[in-house]
Amino acid sequence: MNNELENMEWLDSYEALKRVNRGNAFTVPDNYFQEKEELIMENIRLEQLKYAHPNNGFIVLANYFDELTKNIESRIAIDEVLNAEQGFAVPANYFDELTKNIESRIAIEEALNAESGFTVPANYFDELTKNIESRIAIDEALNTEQGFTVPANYFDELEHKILQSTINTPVRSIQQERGMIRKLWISKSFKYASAACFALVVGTAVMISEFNDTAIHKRSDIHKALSKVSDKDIEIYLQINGDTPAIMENVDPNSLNSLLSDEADQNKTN
Amino acid sequence: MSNQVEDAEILEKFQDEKTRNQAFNLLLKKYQQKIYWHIRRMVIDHDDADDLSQDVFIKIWKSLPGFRSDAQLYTWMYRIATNECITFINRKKLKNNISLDDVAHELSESLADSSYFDGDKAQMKLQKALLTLPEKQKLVFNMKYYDEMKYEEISEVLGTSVGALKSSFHLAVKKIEAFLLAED
Repeated sequence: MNNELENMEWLDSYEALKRVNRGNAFTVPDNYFQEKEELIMENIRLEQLKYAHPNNGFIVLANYFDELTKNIESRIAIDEVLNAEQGFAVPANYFDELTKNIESRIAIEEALNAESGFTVPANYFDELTKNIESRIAIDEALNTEQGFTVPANYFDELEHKILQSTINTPVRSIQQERGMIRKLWISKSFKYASAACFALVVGTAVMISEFNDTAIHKRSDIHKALSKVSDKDIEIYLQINGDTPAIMENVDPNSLNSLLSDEADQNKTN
Repeated sequence: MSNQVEDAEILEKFQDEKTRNQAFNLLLKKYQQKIYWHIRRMVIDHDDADDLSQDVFIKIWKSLPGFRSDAQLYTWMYRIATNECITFINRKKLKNNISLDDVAHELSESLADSSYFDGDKAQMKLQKALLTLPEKQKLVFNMKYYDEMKYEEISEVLGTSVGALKSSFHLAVKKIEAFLLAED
């Protein structure tokens, strides 16, 4: 069997099949292939658009995706390091025990809430609500009608007056308020006069104290007491109780005379 | 089907981006009906063939830049269409959870009810006989009987050796002959 027979003449061997019309029994709608051709070309253009603009018109910078990959890898590496070295640790089975503890606490709370033992009168909360609302209404009424009134814009004007008399008033110097001040102590003549007076007073006091021995005697209690004793009584006393010859030998006759004369003068003045 | 020169011209134009659409339009005009009828004989229903043929040509357009000219263009397109048909039929079987016989029965009813079948009684019998065949035998018979393709060309389409194809074809023809005779 050559190629021609193989491809074209095989049908002769099958009588029933040979009787069948080899024409196309299938049909298509009118102008189907023409319209189909246009439809396919439209679809092809859509596909071309899709390929020409794979990002649907969105543009990214050159090498964007390479850098994005590097950034993501860096972030992952940092996160891994942070997670690996975060330093926080919990005991073994901590979270299991924590769960049990929480569940126990919840159970206890629920038990307590269910059997708290506290009761309130019937309709308590309804009446409580009404009472609160009443109180609020009364407070609001009191706040809105407290009886005291002020003229319209009173507080604005008050504020304005205060500001006018304080902040907005021009500043006047203290010197202007008090008038002229004369500072006498600053003059040189006053200083010299004061110093001269002081020196005169001090010098006089020194002089008097130096030339007046009676003043010294007046200041001593022994002198005062002895000045009241007469000379004769002293001589008698010394003759009876004292070692007169020894005293007389040690006493300076000049000083004794002056002393005696002072005593005499003192007695005269008294 | 000696369209080598024309196919070469189509392929050359397709390589140039400026004439790519024109080339594909030429390809459509030349092979659209052949591909459609190849699909239609396999799936019987016009609407199914309509959808499938459109999908096939979109696939051809996408794959054509990678087409190697060592094969014939039309056998390459037939291969794409055949694979689409087989995928479609298998999906239909899975979707409806029915056997191949049930598919054949369903297609037979579809053929009887179709407004796009204008064959006589003998042609209707032949189509029913074809529906009893396995997919591969049906494909071989259709390409040999209707498209008058050589075994070598069918071999390119189905990727099967010529000897195996001859065997399949003769088995198919014998079954059809028996079916037609039994029905008569």
